[in-house]
Amino acid sequence: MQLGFLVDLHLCMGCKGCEIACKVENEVPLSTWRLRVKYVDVGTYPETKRTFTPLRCNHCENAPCERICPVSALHYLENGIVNIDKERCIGCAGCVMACPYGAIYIDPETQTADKCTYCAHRIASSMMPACVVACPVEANIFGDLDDPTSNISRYIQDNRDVQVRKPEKGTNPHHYYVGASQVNLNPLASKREKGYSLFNNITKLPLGGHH
Amino acid sequence: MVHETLAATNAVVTLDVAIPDIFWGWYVTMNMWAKSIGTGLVFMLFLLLRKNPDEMKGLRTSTLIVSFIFMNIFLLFTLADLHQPFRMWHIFFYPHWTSAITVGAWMASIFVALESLMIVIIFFKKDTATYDKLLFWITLLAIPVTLYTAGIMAEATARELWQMPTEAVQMILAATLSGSAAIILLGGSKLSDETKQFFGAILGLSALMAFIIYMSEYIFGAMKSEEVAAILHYVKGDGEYATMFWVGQWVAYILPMLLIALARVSKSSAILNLAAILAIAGLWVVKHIWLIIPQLLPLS
Amino acid sequence: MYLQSRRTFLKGAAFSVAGVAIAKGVFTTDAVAESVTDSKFTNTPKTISFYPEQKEWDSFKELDGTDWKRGGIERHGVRSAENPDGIQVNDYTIVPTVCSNCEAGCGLTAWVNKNDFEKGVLTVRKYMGNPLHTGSRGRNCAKGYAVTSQMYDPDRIPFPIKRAPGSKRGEGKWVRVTWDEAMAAIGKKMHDTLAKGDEVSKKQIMYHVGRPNENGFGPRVPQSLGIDGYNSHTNICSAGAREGTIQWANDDRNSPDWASADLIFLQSSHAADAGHYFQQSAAYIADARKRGAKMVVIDPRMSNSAGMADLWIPAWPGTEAALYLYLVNRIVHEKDKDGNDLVDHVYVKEWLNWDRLMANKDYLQKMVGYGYISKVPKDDSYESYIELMKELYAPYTKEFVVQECKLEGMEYKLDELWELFVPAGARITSYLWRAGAIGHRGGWMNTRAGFLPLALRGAMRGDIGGIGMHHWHEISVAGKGDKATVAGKHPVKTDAWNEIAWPPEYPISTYEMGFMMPQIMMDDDWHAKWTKKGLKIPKSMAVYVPRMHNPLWINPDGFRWMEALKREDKFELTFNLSPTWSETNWYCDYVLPVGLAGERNDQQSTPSKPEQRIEFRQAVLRVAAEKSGWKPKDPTRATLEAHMKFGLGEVWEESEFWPNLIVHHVDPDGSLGVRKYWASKKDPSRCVTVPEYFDAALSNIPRLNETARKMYKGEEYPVYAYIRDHGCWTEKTNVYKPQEEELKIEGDYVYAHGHKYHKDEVKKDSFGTLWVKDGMVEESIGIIKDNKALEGFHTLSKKLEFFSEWLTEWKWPEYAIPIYPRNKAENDKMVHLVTQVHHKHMKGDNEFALNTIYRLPYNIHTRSVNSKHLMEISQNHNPVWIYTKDAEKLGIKRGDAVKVQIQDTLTGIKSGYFIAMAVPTEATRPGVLACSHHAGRWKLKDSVNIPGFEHSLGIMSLGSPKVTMTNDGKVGTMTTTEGIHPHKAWQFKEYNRDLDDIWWNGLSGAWQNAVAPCHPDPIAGNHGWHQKVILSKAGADEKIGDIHVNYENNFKVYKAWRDDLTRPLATGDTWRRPYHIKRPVKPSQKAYRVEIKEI
Ligand SMILES: Nc1nc2c(c(=O)[nH]1)N[C@H]1C(S)=C(S)[C@@H](COP(=O)(O)OP(=O)(O)OC[C@H]3O[C@@H](n4cnc5c(=O)[nH]c(N)nc54)[C@H](O)[C@@H]3O)O[C@H]1N2
Ligand SMILES: Nc1nc2c(c(=O)[nH]1)N[C@H]1C(S)=C(S)[C@@H](COP(=O)(O)OP(=O)(O)OC[C@H]3O[C@@H](n4cnc5c(=O)[nH]c(N)nc54)[C@H](O)[C@@H]3O)O[C@H]1N2
Ligand code: SF4
Ligand code: SF4
Ligand code: SF4
Ligand code: SF4
Ligand code: SF4
Ligand SMILES: [Mo]
Repeated sequence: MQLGFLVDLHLCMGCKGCEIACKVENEVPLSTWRLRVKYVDVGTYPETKRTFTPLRCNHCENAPCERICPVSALHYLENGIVNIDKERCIGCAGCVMACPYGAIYIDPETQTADKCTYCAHRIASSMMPACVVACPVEANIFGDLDDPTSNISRYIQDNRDVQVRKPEKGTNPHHYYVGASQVNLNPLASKREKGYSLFNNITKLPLGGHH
Repeated sequence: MVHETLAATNAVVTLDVAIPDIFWGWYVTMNMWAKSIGTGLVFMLFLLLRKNPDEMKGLRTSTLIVSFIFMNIFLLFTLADLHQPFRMWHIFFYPHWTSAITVGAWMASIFVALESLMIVIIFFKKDTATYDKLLFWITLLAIPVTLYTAGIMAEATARELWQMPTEAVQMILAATLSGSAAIILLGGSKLSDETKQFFGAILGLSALMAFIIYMSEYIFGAMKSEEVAAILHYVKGDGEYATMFWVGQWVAYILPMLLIALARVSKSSAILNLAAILAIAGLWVVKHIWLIIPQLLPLS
Repeated sequence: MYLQSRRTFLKGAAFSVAGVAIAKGVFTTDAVAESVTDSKFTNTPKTISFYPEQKEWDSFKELDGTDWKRGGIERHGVRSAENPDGIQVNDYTIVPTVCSNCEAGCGLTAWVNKNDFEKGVLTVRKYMGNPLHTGSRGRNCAKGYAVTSQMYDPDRIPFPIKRAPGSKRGEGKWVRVTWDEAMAAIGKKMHDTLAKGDEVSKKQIMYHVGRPNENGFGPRVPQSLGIDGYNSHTNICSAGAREGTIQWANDDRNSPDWASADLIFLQSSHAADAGHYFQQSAAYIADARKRGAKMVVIDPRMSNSAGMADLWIPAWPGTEAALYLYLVNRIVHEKDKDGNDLVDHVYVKEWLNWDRLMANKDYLQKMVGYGYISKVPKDDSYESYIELMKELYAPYTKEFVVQECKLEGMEYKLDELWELFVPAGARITSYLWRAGAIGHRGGWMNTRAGFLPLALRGAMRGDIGGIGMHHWHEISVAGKGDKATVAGKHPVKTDAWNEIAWPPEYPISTYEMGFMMPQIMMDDDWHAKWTKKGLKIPKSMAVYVPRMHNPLWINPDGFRWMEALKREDKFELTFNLSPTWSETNWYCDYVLPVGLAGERNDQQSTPSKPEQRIEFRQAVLRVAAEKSGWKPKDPTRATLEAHMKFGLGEVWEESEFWPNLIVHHVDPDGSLGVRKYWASKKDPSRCVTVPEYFDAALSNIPRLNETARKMYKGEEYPVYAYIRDHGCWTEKTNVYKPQEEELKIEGDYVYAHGHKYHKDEVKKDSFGTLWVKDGMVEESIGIIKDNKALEGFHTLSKKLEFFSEWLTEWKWPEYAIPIYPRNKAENDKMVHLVTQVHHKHMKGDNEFALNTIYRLPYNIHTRSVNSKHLMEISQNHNPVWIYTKDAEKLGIKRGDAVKVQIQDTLTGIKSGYFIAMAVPTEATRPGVLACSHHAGRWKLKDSVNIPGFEHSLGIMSLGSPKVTMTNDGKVGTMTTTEGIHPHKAWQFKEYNRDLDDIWWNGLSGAWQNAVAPCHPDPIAGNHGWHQKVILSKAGADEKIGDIHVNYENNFKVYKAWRDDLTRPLATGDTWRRPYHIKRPVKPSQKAYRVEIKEI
């Protein structure tokens, strides 16, 4: 079994239902996110567009976070999930430095690393991840990549523009995007200027724990 | 980087969550800096033993103790940088061997243990022979100990700037630079002028090579990789860290090189000492900048 | 953290010394593995479901997400008696309820963790969707999932509070009272008012409701009291759209079939931001787009919807009607590629009331007089009608639209629009609601004009992929629990007409003029004038009850509201039914904490697709407790008791509160004739209970009734039991074209709308319309077509009314057909139709139209302020969007503080200004600024201390900065003094552990509504939200959030709009309002009658 995720960016409307569902499901503390939905405005008036990109852990097959973790707090489950153990974690932040996708953070309440687990506890309860259930437009597709008849496998077969983030890093993400452009996948393709923007304060925070 | 000035690709983030700021900050700089000095001193002791065993006298204990102190500073900051310092023991009970952190922690611990042993041997037993024998082995160990941080940086897949080959060389050079500088300062009158000039030469050469590598990255890094280009932006032009970057380069490398040349001509150990002080101080800045800048880039 | 870590460290050290750690590891693995095999949990499940099956809902076990963080079952196993260190398993009772954050009424399920039920603890761990709900299909938007954070809001009001005796309103001194004390005081006041029994007293109790999210319970309350006391917020919401739709179809709004459309034609933001039935609409739009449907969005601002549309047309706000009539022009003149007419003649001929227009020579003559057409058509044939249309709409050319909508350089977009429009045929759908329809004077014409091209293409037939009507797809029975009461029947209609809600200047507004209540109440001249003309208008409100409403903040001219609410002579007793703090609370006498989504009991019905469905919102803690065997002491107060027992506080809710209040306090002895409507038939000594009332109400739904009675045989309240366990019910699917359904005719009787008429009662007119008599008026019940009696539309003619004949009678003949000024002269003359922010008013580079209306997908007006999760995203931030090049011209940069000064274009009067943050963007059109209204919240104090209560009650501490304020009756000012901080909560501590991680300060919002004058459209009565503003950089001493309002000036603007633009009731008028059009709570025909004295 190899669980995987796919987001159809043609559909995502940036409602952030998934983001909040995740926060509630996993009690992700304020100032940190397992999943975020980023808006990027592209183009110039009147040919302007808005893009929405849900970003979460990719559950890489060749996960740099797992590799660097000195104590195996990060570990693979037999279903392909890259899981994390807050009791094992020593908070070295190696994983934070290693994950090419910025998917890991230090939980300010526990002072340990945390990230999306594909809702492993829900999976183990035979339930879909919270963010998948949430999505009004079914932009989130989840399932077993080893099973060619699963919804996600079919989606991948049926769509030609299936992409992953930063394939050059050799991480082999198990998280795919359909309908993605550079702006969705590559953080360098847009300007992320600090300060208040159209919708909120684009900022950086002192990392969990040193504040 | 998509060319932002094209109207069609003008892309601006208009809503995003707050992302974490620098994770590995000056604690880690302290860690690398102290470790460079700690291991560097061992290298220098070893060289001294090879080159001029006579001058080892009086330096065996003091140098090792200083190295030991720096290694403990290194350990202390390593520990302090952990968000769960009291769980450090997990590394020994649940070691994960693919992690350079694990390997490094074990080696550094062995290294420090070995140093303690040598201190005991030399201080209480005054057994120079065993000491000198052990010095070989500890020097051997010092190499991976000083290198493993480069391994961690290499495993920090997210930070394109840090590539194993260069970082490894830079780690060694940092050790030889700071080690030679430290021993110049420590040696004082115990070292002959010639030896001092020898260490001065090591210092100068280390500075030169490190500087060349940094400049190569600075000039050529951007050409091969989008991410490196974006990272180097922070130290170029009116980048946030440009001034500090150049302060580091001048203080750690350029000025010491000039001073060492001057010291050679004028045979002044005062100038040599100044070069040494600058190199040690500058190294901190250089390391810090290189540590910080790749962390400024949003990864997603 | 350090303490805990130290403990682990010591433990670890101890283990390692003894070598236990490893031994334990080896030793425990088996137990761990066993605990997993013995359980239903596995990391490699065979199936992965979205929701557990309904039959498992009473006890569903799931691993806990937070505890899983310890490494999951692989490392720790599953918690059990043998493996106490295993990952926690939550035993949930899953209770269906309904989201209440917007009117979509999406299904929710509360996952009530009953692990600790024995210890008296029940916790809602999360809210997810309800998969049985056929509209929302188990999905929710951000605001749905945020219900948890609203429920466990650290600043929730934990018990009823009352203004401290001796203090003034707004002083912020509060004392604690019990529900019974509050009910006694309020009940007495209501009793004494009603006991007077005169006409005026019937207008002195006002129930003023925001978005109620329930279908009929609220209106039943004032109706049962025999008063005209229902007031709503609609006229700041959507009056313009409603007016236009009423004129077309006599329906409140349209009802799109998103999922089957080929073109999604939006001037709203349904696809990605807001709009009615938001996430359901968005989901159906997404379904359509998956099939290849296209989407057009007309919006001066690039909403998220516009940002993902196939085509974005940034027309100048308020000029859309011109664009729509341009489409009409092309439709009537052009042919498709096969040479066929684009007009769907079959449909138009059948279902538009062209025949009445063509027969009305008098009106046709008028049209000639207005210059709409050159001559009266030669005959009244359909062909002549089409000729008339060609002439009428010929002036709306492309050149005209480009100029009127300011689309210079975007001609290609109009071509693209046409390219998308024509191939979609009749499968075009839309929901004309706010946007152009609410923001402007004449906004209602936006809807009138907007539906015309769709009608001509046949899309208004209510067929698949087209547009139907709202009431086809809705079921309202919450007001009909009558059978559970002693009275056994519905309360009678009152004979009083409340001029405060419905002033004589606005006879056809849609609906009550609730947003200008303070202006009305404080205008003594107005009062004197109409009193002289013979109306009996109260000078004060004896009892004023805002419910689910924050009128002071969300309406224009907030300082006037503040001023009015402080007047104890005008508002004698006020109480706010509000679970949370709001600006309005601050000025009320009582704040009574009622429940939020998962804490209320009410029926809702949302027409989000062509089906008929209801959803039932219920108090989930009560239901979960009852399912676990708990019983209330007093069944009429079960919800309150459950909330108190299971840790929510003294939180009650309305379906128990009102019956208790009325039966025990308002009319305890039944002498007012009110008690019987709420006393329980089962036990007349008490009021109805939730199961009694809603079982009776829901039994009115035939298929539900039948199904429930089968499924819950033996239950005392089977229909209630069904809805308790399922949370929703779909009565009918695929509701298409009900206007074409035949009326039931049996023998000599015709059945229409639940009534039975003898054939002799029914008269047919020359157009085929069937009429019956209803008291003093004629009512149409159907229409004959091809010898069949069909339902028809809801209008008098039973057709869609291209020609609004009644509007001509109600004094607006020139606007009785879709029309829009075609040139400068008309533009000046048709002032009622032309937006107050028309570009003709913008002179300098610093003069802009301000778009004050749009929503953020993760905010809900003022409800989101203390949801930590929603506030973390939105941060009380409402910048002024300004087009990049406009900003450049004025030297304005991102983050700059700008001064936005409001000026009325009818009078030239300036209102004052607010200081906001500017953000230059490519996402709003040149000349039009935008500023959302969710932010700019404020409070005067951080918290209040209640004598005798150990904690202070925090006020909006997650989303509102603190301000200082001045107001002297003429000028009001406000400035922020302190932002939002990290802090600790005393209430719901577990859930709010992370409040110390708050990282936003909320200092970038401004309360723009306070500055805007109240200026109602003379016909629809909507507040024209858009404002003309003069923009400049803020001065050195001005900071973001500052406001300065001359509300005396605002009063002048209000009067000018009222007195210069309306056509009020006058001597000779005999009706207050057309009887056939909707009023949310209709009084009797007697009340409708009026006599205006000559003075
Ligand atoms: N997320 C969310 N959803 C909600 C609500 C909420 O608070 N939050 N509230 C609910 C309620 S009460 C309502 S009434 C509905 C309203 O939902 P909608 O009917 O969609 O109305 P708005 O969001 O007010 O405005 C829609 C769009 O109209 C644009 N607009 C403003 N002025 C004009 C104009 O003059 N012309 C044109 N063409 N466009 C204009 C705005 O920029 C905005 O993008 O949403 C409901 N759904
Ligand atoms: N500038 C500008 N202003 C606007 C708009 C705009 O687009 N622009 N939109 C307008 C529109 S369309 C609308 S509908 C109004 C909305 O205006 P309102 O209906 O007044 O606003 P809400 O914020 O939805 O709810 C008001 C209050 O209800 C209480 N409340 C919350 N939940 C519950 C509950 O479950 N039960 C009870 N009893 N009370 C509860 C809280 O005190 C909350 O402050 O705002 C209008 N104001
Ligand atoms: S995305 Fe990052 S955190 Fe997730 S598995 Fe890959 S490297 Fe690890
Ligand atoms: S922070 Fe924790 S999870 Fe991340 S690498 Fe360090 S020990 Fe592993
Ligand atoms: S899978 Fe679960 S943990 Fe991951 S983003 Fe979705 S909700 Fe969050
Ligand atoms: S819930 Fe779906 S549509 Fe909404 S932001 Fe997440 S992925 Fe996008
Ligand atoms: S669309 Fe409205 S009702 Fe549905 S989940 Fe969102 S806020 Fe709740
Ligand atoms: Mo609304």
